[in-house]
Amino acid sequence: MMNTLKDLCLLDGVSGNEGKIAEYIVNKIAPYAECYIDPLGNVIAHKKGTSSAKKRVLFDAHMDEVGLIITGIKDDGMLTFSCIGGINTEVLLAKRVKIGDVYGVICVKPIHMLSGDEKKKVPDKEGLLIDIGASSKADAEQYIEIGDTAVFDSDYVEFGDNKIKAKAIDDRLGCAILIDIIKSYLPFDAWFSFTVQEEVGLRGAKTAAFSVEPDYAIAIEATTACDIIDTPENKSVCKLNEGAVVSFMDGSTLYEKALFNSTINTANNIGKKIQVKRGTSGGNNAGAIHLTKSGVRTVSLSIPCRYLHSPECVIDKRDIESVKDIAVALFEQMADDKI
Amino acid sequence: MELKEMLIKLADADGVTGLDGALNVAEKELSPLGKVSRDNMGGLAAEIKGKKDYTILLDAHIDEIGMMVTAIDDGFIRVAKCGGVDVRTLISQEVIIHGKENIFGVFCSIPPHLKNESNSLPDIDEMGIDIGLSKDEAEKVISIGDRVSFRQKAVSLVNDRITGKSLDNRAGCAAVIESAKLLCADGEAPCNIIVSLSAQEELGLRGAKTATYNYFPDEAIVVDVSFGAFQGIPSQKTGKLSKGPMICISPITDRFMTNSLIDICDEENIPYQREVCGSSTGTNADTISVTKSGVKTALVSIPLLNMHTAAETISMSDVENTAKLIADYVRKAVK
Repeated sequence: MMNTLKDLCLLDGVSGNEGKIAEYIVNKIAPYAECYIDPLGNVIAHKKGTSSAKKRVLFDAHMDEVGLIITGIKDDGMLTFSCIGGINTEVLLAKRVKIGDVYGVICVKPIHMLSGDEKKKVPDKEGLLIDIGASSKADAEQYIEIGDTAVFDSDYVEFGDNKIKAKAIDDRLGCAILIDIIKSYLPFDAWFSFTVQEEVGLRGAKTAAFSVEPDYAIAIEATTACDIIDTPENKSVCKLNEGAVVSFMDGSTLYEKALFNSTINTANNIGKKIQVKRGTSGGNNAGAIHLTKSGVRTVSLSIPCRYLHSPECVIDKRDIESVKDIAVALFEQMADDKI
Repeated sequence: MELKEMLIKLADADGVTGLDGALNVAEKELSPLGKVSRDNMGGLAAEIKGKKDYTILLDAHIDEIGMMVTAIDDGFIRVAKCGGVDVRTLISQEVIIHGKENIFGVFCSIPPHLKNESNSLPDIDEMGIDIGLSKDEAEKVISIGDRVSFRQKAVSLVNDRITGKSLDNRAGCAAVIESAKLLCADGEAPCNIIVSLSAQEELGLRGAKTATYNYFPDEAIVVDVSFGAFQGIPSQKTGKLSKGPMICISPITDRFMTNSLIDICDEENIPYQREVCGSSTGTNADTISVTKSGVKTALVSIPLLNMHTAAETISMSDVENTAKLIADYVRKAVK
């Protein structure tokens, strides 16, 4: 699974441009499950288990990542851009990006030429420019078209004590877990959606869940861990190496209490670490899925991830197994109607 | 092509003063040309004997901006600046901590889910670097005072642009090494050349002070980087990338040498730009010129974007033309 995660993180798939991710996933899962791509670009898969399921369960992970989109080319060859998904400006300054195979850098005025106040101020995001080295607009147009998407140039690194750094761990880790589940033995039939456009408003999950019509859904995500220096305990939200994260509420969903309790009990029964997300920030595909048709009983299970929506997502390898094992154990009860 | 490879090797090597990666790369390039030695400040010089008993020192600082470890916490470290790092660009920046081994780290950020866009930034001592190691584990490999550098390998942009860390001033180092190679390729250099790759420029022009004292040349040419043209900064304080070396005209730089550099560009069709500095140049020229009883000094700069960040960007043609200009100058100066 670690190789799959690495491959997936290194592929580029900003919201609305997830084709490469979908292709990779289809190649990986086709031997194990029936799958198709829906009109929005979601990969929907159905895997036969040993028995048919009493209740239909959907595993969901989103394929898209936050990134940039080129909005214009200036006379001097510099590119203007907008962000796709929520990105704070301070993680962009002097960072390297890739627009297809072309490298670019997000320029800053030299610190030497700034006044005292400006030196500690984040520049206006609207004024930021990407330099690909072009000498003029016509020169830049040989390499770039308006509407091209750009990703952070960030490699996959294992460091420290079991830590992984990469871009797009949100939510390629979810995709990697789903692929792993599809490849494994399953006692019941299961459905899977690898969705597009989560970062721009949970759009892919809406249509995927409509097609699958599940009774239950498990959204597998990466969620904000803020267990970092200078952040007080009560603002850490969740912690690395403390296991899977289960949410009681976030910006898009108030999770069903009974299901929330079952998730924690399941984790305890199988001896896997679980933690409750201590905060209600963010939102994920559960928000779209649980409102589908007449309603879907939905759980959100996440890996704790530091520095979300930056080039530098950081997770702890040891949390991956918790997320996967709890998700599978929960699925078995859901499919067997034993919740 | 060889020059570009040399520059990338130099830029990728470790060179916050106190680390010797860049020195090792430079020594390998220079040792076929002359006697190479290292000084007490962390710099390196090559003495190249020439035909004429006249000595021209070519200076480029080899140190890069970076940081030093000030505290080790559980999972995180703190750092102080070692040179004028642009602190605005540190959030989400990857670094290497040069401890007993090289340790990966990344500056912490708070995601947009938990923090609205704000326009003020923390000071460097309020920032943390995530190293993913407990305090006990970290203390086995990291000590207070260890150097920290940007983790950013140089890559090519389109045309002949290169982006990476420490192009300030490995671009200058590559140019002076290249000009020494050009001069030695003539057979014997026309006069004695000292290639002085000085340390601690970013901390206050320190290495050039002692190196120049040591060699006390007849003339010196400093090669550094200067501000590339960019929107929102005054155009008269910048040079355009790919438009040639910037020749400095200032009270500090020798007028005869400066005019001679300009004449050579005109004669040899080397593109150039004039850079006017009203008082100090902010480069090693300021200190070299007042060494002992004085050294005639000129300054040539390579235009660079995003100075003091991990995204420094230059044009290879400016490096090539700088090397050519200096070699031509030396040939003409001793004729």
